Amino acid sequence: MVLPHRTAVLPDSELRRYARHLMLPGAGLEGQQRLKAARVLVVGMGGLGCPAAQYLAAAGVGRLTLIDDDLVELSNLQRQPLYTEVDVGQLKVEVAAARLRALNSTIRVEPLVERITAANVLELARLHDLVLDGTDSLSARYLLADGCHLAGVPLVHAALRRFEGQVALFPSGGPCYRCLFPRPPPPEVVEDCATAGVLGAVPGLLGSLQALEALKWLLRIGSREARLLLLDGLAGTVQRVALAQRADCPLCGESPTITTPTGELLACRPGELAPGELQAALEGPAPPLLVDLREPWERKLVLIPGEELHLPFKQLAKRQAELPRERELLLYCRTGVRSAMALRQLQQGGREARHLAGGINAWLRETGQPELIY
Amino acid sequence: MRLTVRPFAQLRERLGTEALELELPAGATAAELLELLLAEQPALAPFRESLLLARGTEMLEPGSVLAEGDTVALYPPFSGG
Repeated sequence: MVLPHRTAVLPDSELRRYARHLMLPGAGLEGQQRLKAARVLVVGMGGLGCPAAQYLAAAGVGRLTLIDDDLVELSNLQRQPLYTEVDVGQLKVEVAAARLRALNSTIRVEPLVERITAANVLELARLHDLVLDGTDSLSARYLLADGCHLAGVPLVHAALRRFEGQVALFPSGGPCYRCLFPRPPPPEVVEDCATAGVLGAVPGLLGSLQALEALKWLLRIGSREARLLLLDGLAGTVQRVALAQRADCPLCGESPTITTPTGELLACRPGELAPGELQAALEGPAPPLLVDLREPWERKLVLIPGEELHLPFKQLAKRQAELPRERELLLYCRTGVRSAMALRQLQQGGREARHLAGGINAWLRETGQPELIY
Repeated sequence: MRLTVRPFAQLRERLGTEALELELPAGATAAELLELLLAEQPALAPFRESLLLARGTEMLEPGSVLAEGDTVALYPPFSGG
């Protein structure tokens, strides 16, 4: 189980800022330091992710990663009041990151213009202490639940349908989402907000409940048992159900059948190079300089041949100046998560580059070397 | 023994009711309740492996034993966000 054992020192300005937390029984200075040291991934910046991320940012969670590749649409504004009319057409994670940084400049907010995929879910989960599911499809929800369980990272799930909602805490090790709902129903009977409709305050309430469960987990106050909260927004009730680990659960049961994340393939987006295009790019008239962001031990396993520079992701901020200006850069890592984050960092510093979608593993799959995938 | 099943969300609409009365042999389990329900209500078929059963504040596992007068809530997974 990954617990935020790490703590961080708080300057006086932050003692003032979080004074109401510091007075709170069970939270206090130690709790606030835990929040500052915590890394939380918010998947989906829609009706759930917006309020959840706002409360996490306000509470001083030190590192927030926001992942979503959608643009703000006019029809989002009735339930996603983090965005305003001028944001329509902009990337959600970019707008959200700017607003959250304005709310709390003492935290780090990392926007990722991506989707959760079978190729990146494990690495994304492992880079964080806790994951929040604010996605809007069952396929993403199952993929995220599988990925978090397999990576051993706790998950706070939230989902809704019209006036009703579900919020669940799944500690690592189980019970898991598949203990509740072993397999998804066929897609033709599944609705989303666009087809079922939703009243904006319902996701607002659920996202806030999700943030509350996340903050209690990080502060280590309250029960750490798996639980499901069922909101009936019409009746005005919240029912709590204690969860049990099912012996026949396909993911965390006695003989699991799901041992790797599965899902749709990665679709290519701006700034990405598809693994199938790598060879042509490297053999072209102006081949890009490969930038390997992995750790030294990973390089011992497999490398992409070509002119390259090794710059571990953790050292990128300090050593960015070493990257030659006159060459096109192609960033890569194991699964495309670190390289996507690095691309964002470079772009913020005014540098252009591309990254290899799906990482070296996707390239190995593409080039018929699956035995080298790690 | 007699039990009440309360479907939620789209299950309520699929079944066209807020509550169903079912007759089961004494000592029946949650798995047996589900089998009977699926046999009597073909509209539930797509949700065969996607249903959470709960009794009050307790999640029912397939082997959980039911009792006369129990009310069992039936939930599908929600997808919206």
